[in-house]
Amino acid sequence: MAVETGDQDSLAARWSGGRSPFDVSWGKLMMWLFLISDALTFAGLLIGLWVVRLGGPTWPNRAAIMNIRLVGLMTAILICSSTTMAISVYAARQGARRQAVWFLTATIIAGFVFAGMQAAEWSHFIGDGARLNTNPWGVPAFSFTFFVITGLHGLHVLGGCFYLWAMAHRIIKGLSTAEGLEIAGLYWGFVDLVWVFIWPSIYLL
Amino acid sequence: MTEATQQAPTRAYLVAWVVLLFLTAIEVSVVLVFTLPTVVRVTILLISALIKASLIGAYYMNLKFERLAMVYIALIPLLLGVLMFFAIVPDAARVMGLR
Repeated sequence: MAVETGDQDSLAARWSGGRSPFDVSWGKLMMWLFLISDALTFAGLLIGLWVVRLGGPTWPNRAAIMNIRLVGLMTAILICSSTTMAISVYAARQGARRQAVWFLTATIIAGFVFAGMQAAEWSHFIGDGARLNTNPWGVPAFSFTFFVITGLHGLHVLGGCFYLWAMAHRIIKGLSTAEGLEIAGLYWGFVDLVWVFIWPSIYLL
Repeated sequence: MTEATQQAPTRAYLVAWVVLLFLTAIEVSVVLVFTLPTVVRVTILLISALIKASLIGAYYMNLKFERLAMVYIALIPLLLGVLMFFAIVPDAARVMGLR
């Protein structure tokens, strides 16, 4: 924060161009802009879910249909993966490349485990007769919102695993800086942040 | 990357981790273990989600160590999303009630 003091640092001077007013690199700013637009996509889907749900007469009892304990475990795994990701970024900043790659590997494995459990959850749900536009519980929007929202999130997790995989490769080869890993960490934190709202909306409330 | 970011202690990550897991355990137990009135259950779940989201944003996404302007560009669109939700729910409920 070099531009914190002095007459130059009036509001106008900061925002009238010719400098980076957020004090972050362009890469980090671009990732944040992507994450905000992605957050609004998820917000739109979740708002759609709640509008349909509150507008309809009934909604199936999830505790009787889905395995809440299994999904709770998935939630815990995702939280653990965010923590290992944060530690990996911290290690990379300290210059401990080997440690950073180990924690990154743990994050990737946790991501694949989460995606695998989500796939098991899906096949169980489909086995019970749920389809995109119909299901045995009489509320078509129930399975539709489930598949679309958890599906999009699952794709984000899978995509994130490959993103982190590529980052691990780049860190090992010395092609990426600690900041590059930090930006990847922003994406991974976002995937966890979105799940914080999906998990109560779909399974708990 | 600022000075403050470099000093972010791993201890903060671990504290956030424990709190996040604890809140998740509470979320699961208010649904499966305890029988609570709906209002209480919903309130607990909403507050828990907000605390979890704040912790992830602040520590795992480093917002605590960025300029306040960064926090604003992350937060304001989402607040507008919540506003939109409250703006369209009554209308949607009315239209669906007509069917």
